[in-house]
Amino acid sequence: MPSEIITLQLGQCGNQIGMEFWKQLCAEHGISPEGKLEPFAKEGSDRKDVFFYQADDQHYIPRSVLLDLEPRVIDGILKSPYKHLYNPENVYISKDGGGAGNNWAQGYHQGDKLTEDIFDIIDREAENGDSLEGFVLCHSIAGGTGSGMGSNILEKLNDRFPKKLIQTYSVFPMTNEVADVVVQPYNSVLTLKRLTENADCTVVLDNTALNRIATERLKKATPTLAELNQLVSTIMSGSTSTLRYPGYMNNDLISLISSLIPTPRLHFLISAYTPLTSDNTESEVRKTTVLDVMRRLLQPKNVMVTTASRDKNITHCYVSILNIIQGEVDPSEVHKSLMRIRERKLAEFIPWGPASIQVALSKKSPYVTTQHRVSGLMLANHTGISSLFDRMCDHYDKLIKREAFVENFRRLPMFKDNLDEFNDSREVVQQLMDEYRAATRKDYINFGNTQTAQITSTDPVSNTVDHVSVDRSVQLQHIIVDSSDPCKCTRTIKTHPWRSLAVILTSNVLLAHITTTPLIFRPRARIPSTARTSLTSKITTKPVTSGA
Amino acid sequence: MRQLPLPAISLRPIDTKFKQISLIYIGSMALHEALIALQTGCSGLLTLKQDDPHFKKRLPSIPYVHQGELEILDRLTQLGRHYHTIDEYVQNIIKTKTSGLYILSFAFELRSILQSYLQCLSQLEHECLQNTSLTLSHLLISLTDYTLLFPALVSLINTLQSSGYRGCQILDVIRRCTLDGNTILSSTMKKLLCAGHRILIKQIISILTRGQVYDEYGEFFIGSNNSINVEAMGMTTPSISRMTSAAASRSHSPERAMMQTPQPNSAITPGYNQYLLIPEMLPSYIPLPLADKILFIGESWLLLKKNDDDDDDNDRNTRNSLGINSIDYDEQNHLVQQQLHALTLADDLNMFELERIIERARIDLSLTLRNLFVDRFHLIDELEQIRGFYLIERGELYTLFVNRTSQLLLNTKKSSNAIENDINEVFKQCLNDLHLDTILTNSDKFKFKLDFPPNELVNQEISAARRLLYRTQGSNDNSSSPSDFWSCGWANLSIQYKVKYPMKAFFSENCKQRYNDIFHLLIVLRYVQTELNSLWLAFKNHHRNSLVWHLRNTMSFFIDNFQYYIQIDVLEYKYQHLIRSIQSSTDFQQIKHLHELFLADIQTHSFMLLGTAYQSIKNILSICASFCLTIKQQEKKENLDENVLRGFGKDFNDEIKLLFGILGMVQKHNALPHLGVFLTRLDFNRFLTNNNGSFGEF
Repeated sequence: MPSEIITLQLGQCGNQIGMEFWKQLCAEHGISPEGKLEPFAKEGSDRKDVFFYQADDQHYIPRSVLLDLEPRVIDGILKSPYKHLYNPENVYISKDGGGAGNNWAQGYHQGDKLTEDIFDIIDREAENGDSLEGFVLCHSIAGGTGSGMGSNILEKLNDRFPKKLIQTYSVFPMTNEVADVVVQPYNSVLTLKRLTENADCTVVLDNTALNRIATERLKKATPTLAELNQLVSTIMSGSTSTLRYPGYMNNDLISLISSLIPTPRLHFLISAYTPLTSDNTESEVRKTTVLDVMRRLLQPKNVMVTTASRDKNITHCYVSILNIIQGEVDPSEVHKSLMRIRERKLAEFIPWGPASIQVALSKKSPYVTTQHRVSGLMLANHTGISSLFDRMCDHYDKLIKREAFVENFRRLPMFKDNLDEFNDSREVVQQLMDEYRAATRKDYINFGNTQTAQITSTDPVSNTVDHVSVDRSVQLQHIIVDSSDPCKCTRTIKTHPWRSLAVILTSNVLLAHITTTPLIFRPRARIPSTARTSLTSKITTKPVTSGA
Repeated sequence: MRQLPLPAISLRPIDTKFKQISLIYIGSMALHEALIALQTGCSGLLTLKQDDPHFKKRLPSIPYVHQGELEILDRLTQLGRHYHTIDEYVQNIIKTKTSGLYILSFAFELRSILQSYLQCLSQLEHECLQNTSLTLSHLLISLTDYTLLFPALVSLINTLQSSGYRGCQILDVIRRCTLDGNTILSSTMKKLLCAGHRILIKQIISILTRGQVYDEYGEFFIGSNNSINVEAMGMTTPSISRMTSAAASRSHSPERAMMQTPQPNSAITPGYNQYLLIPEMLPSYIPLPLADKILFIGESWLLLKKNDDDDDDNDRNTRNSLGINSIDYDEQNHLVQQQLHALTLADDLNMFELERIIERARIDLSLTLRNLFVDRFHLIDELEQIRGFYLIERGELYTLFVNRTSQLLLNTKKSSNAIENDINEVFKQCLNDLHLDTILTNSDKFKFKLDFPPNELVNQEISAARRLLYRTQGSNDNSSSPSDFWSCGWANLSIQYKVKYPMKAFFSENCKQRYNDIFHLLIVLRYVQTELNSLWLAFKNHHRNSLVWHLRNTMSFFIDNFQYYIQIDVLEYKYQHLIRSIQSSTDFQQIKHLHELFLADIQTHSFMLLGTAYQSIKNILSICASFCLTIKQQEKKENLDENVLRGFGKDFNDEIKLLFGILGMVQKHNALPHLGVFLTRLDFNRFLTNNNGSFGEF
C-alpha cells in the first residue's frame, strides 16, 4: 500500500475540519460511518488505501491522528455516528485537559512535554504503511493548541521525517474585525515561522474569506461553523481527489506539490472551489462548462483567501496554478478554456520563468451525486498572499510595540529570558513577505542568491577591512561577516541582492553603508561591541547572526 | 495425303465419312481438297512437298482450276492452318495439365469452339455430298465467322504464349480482345473470358465462404503471406526513432520466425496477415478495393473457422458462442454462393453485381465480427487493458513501479532473464499492492522485456551522448554515470503482449510495435518526472542554492506539460474518440482502420515521426535525467559545482530552443492540429516568446 498519507488533526479547529474531511471521504468512497464498505461500493477502482487502512475485520480505518489539549471537540466526535470510525489508539487528549488557553507558548510547551506520547502514535502509524508519502496537518494558527502544539509537532516531524512531505491546511484568523482571541496576532506570527521553515506546503484557508464566501455564495447571513468546515473539507477532499481517484497523472502528493512550489519558501497556497452548494440552498450556478469553472476559479471572490492584487506599488501575480477538474471532461474543452483565459489575460503570471495553468483531470466519486457536470478546485501559488501576512504583521506590530499581553508568554520557558523568539518569528515572516514581493519581479531568479566574497584585511591587528571585490554587480541586503575567529583576516561576506541598505556588524568592526557597486568597503569607524544593541534597533533588517 | 497425321479427336468421323465420300465421288476434287485443308491446314494437292505437312506455298497454278478458286482455296487453307495451330495448342494444354486452371479452362473453351467448327465442316461435307454443284465460295461464305475468329484466336494464343501470362493475368488479355466491334468475335471472346471467370468466381467463392485459397498453380490474386514479419517492421525505421529502432530490429526475432515455419502456408494461424494481395495478378478491371474486401472476408472466415476447428486454450464458452453463430454463416454463405454462381451464368461478368454481392457479404460479416469482437470478446475491455499497460492510464501503478525499480533499471545495461523476471515480479507486486489486480486482470498477458539494441547500435548511441558525458563528469568515475542514459534499462523497457486468439486479428505485430514505441516515450517521461520530483524532496530542506531549484523547476515544467500534452491532450482525447467510434460503428473493418489511425495519430502528435524534433525531445529527457543523477551524487558533497549546473542549464536551453525552432516551423505550416495546444501550454505566460524561445538564463 504505497504512498500513504497520515492526517494529523490538532486542536479544536483542526479536529472539526478533520471530522468533516473524513465524513466527506467516507461518503466519496462509499464507507459507512462505522468503517464498513457499503454494498454498492464493492466494485470501485478508487484508492482507499491512501487515507484508510483495513483492519483485520476489513473495516476501513482512517490514517488519522486526533490530538487536542482539551476534550470537548474530540468528545463530540466520539459521540457522533463516526465514533467507531477512528482507531481509538490514535485519539489523544492531554491528561490534564486544561487546553492551551489560546496561548501559543502554552501549546508549544505542552506539545514539548507530550512529544513522546504523540510520536508514539505517529511512529506507529507511519510504520503501518509500507511507503509513507507524507503528513497532512489540519489546524488553525490563531488558537493555542493548533498553533502552539502544531508548531512543535511541525518542527519535530521535519526533524524525524526529513524526506517526507508535510502539508498543512492552516486556518488563518479573521483580520478585518476585532479578534476573539486577543493574542491571535502573536500566535499567528509565531506559527507562521514554523509553517515557513518546517512545512513543505501550506494551504491557507482564510477565515475572513471563508465567511465572505459562505455569506455571498451560499446566501447565508451568518454561516455556522459547520458550514465553514464543510467548505474546508470540500477543499481538502478536492485537492486529494487525484490521489484517490487516480488517472494518468498527479497520482502522488509530491507531483501535486512540486509543480506548484518552485522554490521551497514560496509554499503558501491559496485555493478556490466552484460550484459551491450547500444542503439547503439551491445553487445559483446552473450550467457548468470547463471554461465557466476555470474562469470562476480565477475570480477573487471565489478564492478562499482574501488577498490584495496590488499593494505597495507591486502588482501581484500567480507563481503557479493547478486546477483539478472533476467530472466528465473532454480534453479539448480544457484547451479551449486555457486559450480563452490566455487571450483575455484573466491570470497574471510571474515574469521570471515559464508558468501556466496546470490542469489535473479527476474522476468524480460515483457515490456522491452532484447537480453539476463539472466542478473545479484551484490550488495556486499567488504572491498576493503576502498581503495577508502583511495584515497579520500590522496587528502584531501594534501589539508588540506596547508589549501587550506578553506576560502570559513570559510565564513559559521559551520566553522566560527574552522575547527574541517574537522578533525572530517576525523577521522570518518579513523575509517571507519580501520573497513573495520579490517573486513579482523579473530578477527574482537571483533572489537570495548568496554571493561569497573574500575580504582581506589590510590591517590584521585591528581587523579592519578596507576593500572587497564582488564579481557581480548586485545590490546588497545583508552582509554577514563570519567573526568566529577574529584573528583571521579572511572574512566571508554573504550578500543578498536588491536591498540597497546594508549594515554589517562584527564583534569589533562596523562596515558602514554600502549602496552601489563596485563594492568598496572602507573602514569608517570602530564600534565597540557594546554599541551593537543600539544599532540593531535602528536597523530594520535582521540582526546579523554569525556563522553561515 | 493419307500419310498425313490427322488430328486425333475430332477428325475420326469426318475421316471415315471422307473415305466414303472419296469412294463415291471423286470429281469434286477441289471441294474435297478444301475440306481437307480446312481440317488440317494442308492438302496433298496443294502442297509442294508431300511430306511437309506445313507447306509454305501452293503450286502457282493448277490446270482446270480458276485463279479465283485457287485464291479461295488459299484462304480456306489458311483457316485450316489456324485451326491446326489452335488445336495443337489445346492438345498441348490438356495433355500437360501444368499450365494452370485458367489456361486449362481457356483451352477447354477453345476446344468447344473448335468442335463447333468441325461440326460446321461436317455439315458442309454433308451438303457437298448432297449437292455436287456447290462451289468453293459456298464453303468460304459458310465459314466466314471462323475466318474472322481464328486469326484473332491465334494471335491471342500467341500473345499468351509469348508473354508468359498465367492465372488471373490472362483474363486481362482476353478481356482486351472482347472489346471488338465485331459481335461474333466479341461474343466468342466473352465466352472464353467467361470460362476464365468461372474459375475466378470459384476461387472467390472458396475464399469468401471458407476462407481458403484453392490455388494450386499460384494464379489467384490473393496468396498466402509467407513473410509476416515484413509488416511488423511497420513505419518505424531507425532514422525516425532511435528509441524505437532497437525494438523494431528485434521484432523479427528467431522465436517468432519459428512460430511461423511449422505451418508455412497452411491456413491455421488466424489473423489479418495470413493472406496478402498480389497486385500483379489482379485483373485491371477488378478494382483494388474490391480485392481488398475479398481478402478481408476471406481472412475473417479463416479467423472464425479457426475457432471452430481447433483452439485448445480457448474456453468452452467462446467456442460454443461461435458454434451457434456458424449456422448463420452457412446460410449466409449459401446465399453468397448462389448469387455468385448466378453471375457466372451470364456471358458477361457483371462487375457491378459482383461488387454489390461482395460488399453486402462484407458488411454482413463485418457487422458480425464487430458484434463478436465488441460484444463477445469485449474489445473495449481489451483496449482498456492495453491503455492500462501500454498507455500508462493507471498513473499510480507506474508511479509506484518507477519508484521501486528506478535504481534497478538504471543500472541495467544488458538484458537477462533474471532481471526481466525481477521487473515482472516487482510489477506484479505493485499491482497487488494497489489492489489493481481486479481491474487490470490481464496482467499475465503483459510481460516486461528489456530490448537492448545490438552492440553496434549501442556504440552509436553512446558516442552521440558522449558530449554530455564529458561535460557533466569531469572525471568519469561512477558506473551510473548519467551519460549513457539511452543505454540503460529505462530507455529499453518494452512490454510483450501475448495476444490471445481472437484479438490477434485486431492487434497486429505492427500495432504492438507502435504501442511499444509510445510506451517507451511515456515510461521514460514518467521516470524523469519521478526523478525530478525526488530531487524536490531531497532539496526541500535546503533553502538555498536556488539555481538548482530554478533549473529543476523549469525542467519539471517542461516535462509536466509535455506529459500532460501527450497523455491528456493527445492520448486521452484520441482514445475517447476511438471508443466512441467503436461503439457507434457497425463495421469491423472500419474499427480496425480507426484503431490504426488512432495509433498513427498518437505517434504523429507525440512527434515520433518528426525525426529532429523527437531527437531533441530525447536529448531533453536525457539532460534532465543526467541532471537529477548528477545532483543526487553531489548532494552529499554539500557544495554543488555551479559550473556543472550552468552547463546543464545551457544544454537544456539549447535543446529547448532547437525544439521550439522546429515546432514553431511545423506550427506555421499547420501540419499538426494539436501542436498549438502544446505550445500554448509551454508559453502560457509568454515567457518563451519574450525570451527568444528559451527558459531563462542559467
